[in-house]
Amino acid sequence: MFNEVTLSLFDGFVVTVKIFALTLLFALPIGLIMSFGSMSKFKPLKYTVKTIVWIIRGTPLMLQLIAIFYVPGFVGKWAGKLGIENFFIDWLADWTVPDRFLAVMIAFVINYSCYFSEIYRGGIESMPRGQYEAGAVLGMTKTQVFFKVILMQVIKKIVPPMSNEIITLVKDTSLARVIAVYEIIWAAQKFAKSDGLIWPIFYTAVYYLIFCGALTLLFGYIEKKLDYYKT
Amino acid sequence: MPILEVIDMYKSFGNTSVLKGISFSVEKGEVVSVIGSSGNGKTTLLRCLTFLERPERGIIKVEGETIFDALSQKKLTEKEIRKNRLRFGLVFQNFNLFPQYTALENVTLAMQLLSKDGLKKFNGNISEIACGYLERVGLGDKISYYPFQLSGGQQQRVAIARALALNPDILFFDEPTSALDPLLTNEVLATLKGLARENMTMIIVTHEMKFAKEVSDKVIFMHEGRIVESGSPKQIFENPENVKTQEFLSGFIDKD
Ligand SMILES: Nc1ncnc2c1ncn2[C@@H]1O[C@H](COP(=O)(O)OP(=O)(O)OP(=O)(O)O)[C@@H](O)[C@H]1O
Ligand SMILES: [Mg+2]
Repeated sequence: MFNEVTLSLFDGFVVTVKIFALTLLFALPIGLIMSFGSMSKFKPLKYTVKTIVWIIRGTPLMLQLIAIFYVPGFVGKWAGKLGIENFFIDWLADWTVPDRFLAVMIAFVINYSCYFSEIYRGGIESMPRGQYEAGAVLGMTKTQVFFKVILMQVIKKIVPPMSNEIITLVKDTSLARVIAVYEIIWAAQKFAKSDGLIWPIFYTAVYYLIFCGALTLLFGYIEKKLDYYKT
Repeated sequence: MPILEVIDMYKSFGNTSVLKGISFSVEKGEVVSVIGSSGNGKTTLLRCLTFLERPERGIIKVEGETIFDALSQKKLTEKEIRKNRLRFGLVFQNFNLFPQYTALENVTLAMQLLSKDGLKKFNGNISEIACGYLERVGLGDKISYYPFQLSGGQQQRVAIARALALNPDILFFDEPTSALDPLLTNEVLATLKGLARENMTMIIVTHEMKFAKEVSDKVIFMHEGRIVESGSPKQIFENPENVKTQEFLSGFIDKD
């Protein structure tokens, strides 16, 4: 039984890791772009991004998951009732059933992009103006200054808050369970339902702990690597 | 012909006008000291000359050629600014070295980028040239140190080497020693004296009156955004004509 549970949880864990990895893959770059938006001199863009960030950071991820999962279907059905019909509306109306995983990915990517954008923004805004100016008077372009001078320093600065956020993400993946996406918690609950076993639920902690432990080691290693200089 | 000529420069921030018609010229090989009390626009002047700020009015000429005229050039492209900037070097009060690079890399970074972009040619190996400049400021044995491993005075000398390496026509210094304690101040001032002997054209904003008296060919006294008096160090320090200059200098008598 133990082996069976271990293997079954591992199947769920693969999905957990998939949510985790895909969220990072998209949210890390989108967050950077959003941070530029929130620092833009163009006011409408700046305040649009800031409002999105406020809404996303001000509401629970669980609520956002539910919204992404159910709202398109409602909109589709409502539009259908109004007699609007096209490929997109049909797709929306059928949204709920096949696209659970997609809904999870959309909600996670939006949510984490917002958190990451704030971390990037904090890092970039903390750079002293003198660094930009020193680069500029040496004849470097803005792009060169950003990539050759600023970026490395920003990365060093944001590794600690980023690692915090990324470790939170590991545990947040369990929220996918709310809209019935099969991941490790779901895999464990299956045993409670079918065999009346409770311990598999707690057994999932081992997977989380190993995963987070590995990440902690990785970030510690990166921090150490970047420790060759001080500001 | 003067190597640098500044004509009627004005700069304000919002409602406060900081430069109110600055005109002066510098001959090749001259060392010009700019003195004046806090908040009178000395830094702003250097920042306008290095295009970190845009003056509302004013003309900058280098060797007779107008490189900037505020009235006719409302907008400069990044390329134009870059080209203009390369005529000048600026050394900051707080050094502004790049912390993630060694002393040598601090010097070579811009050299490499400029040579790649075809904006500067260097005769020979960039690292070797950079080492040469670091030796010149007395840091030949510190080339692979990171800024945090260097004293303030050493950091400032790396910054000087970094500016020198781009071979500017004129070097500007904004209070290069005011972040340093007296001992370190002296080593940086010695470096500046060395440059003066080698006929480097320099404009130095400084509160070191003794130094200004010793090395300058010309002293400019700024007060409330204007140059109220300028002349030889002898003239300014021993026989100031303007009341404001007299008041300012009397504050330094016991220090010398
Ligand atoms: N970016 C800015 N925005 C608004 N005001 C500014 C700005 N930069 C400078 N000022 C103002 O311009 C005036 C002149 O400043 P500046 O730094 O040029 O003086 P300074 O002669 O270099 O003084 P110090 O000896 O203290 O360095 C000051 O009153 C300052 O507050
Ligand atoms: Mg100043």
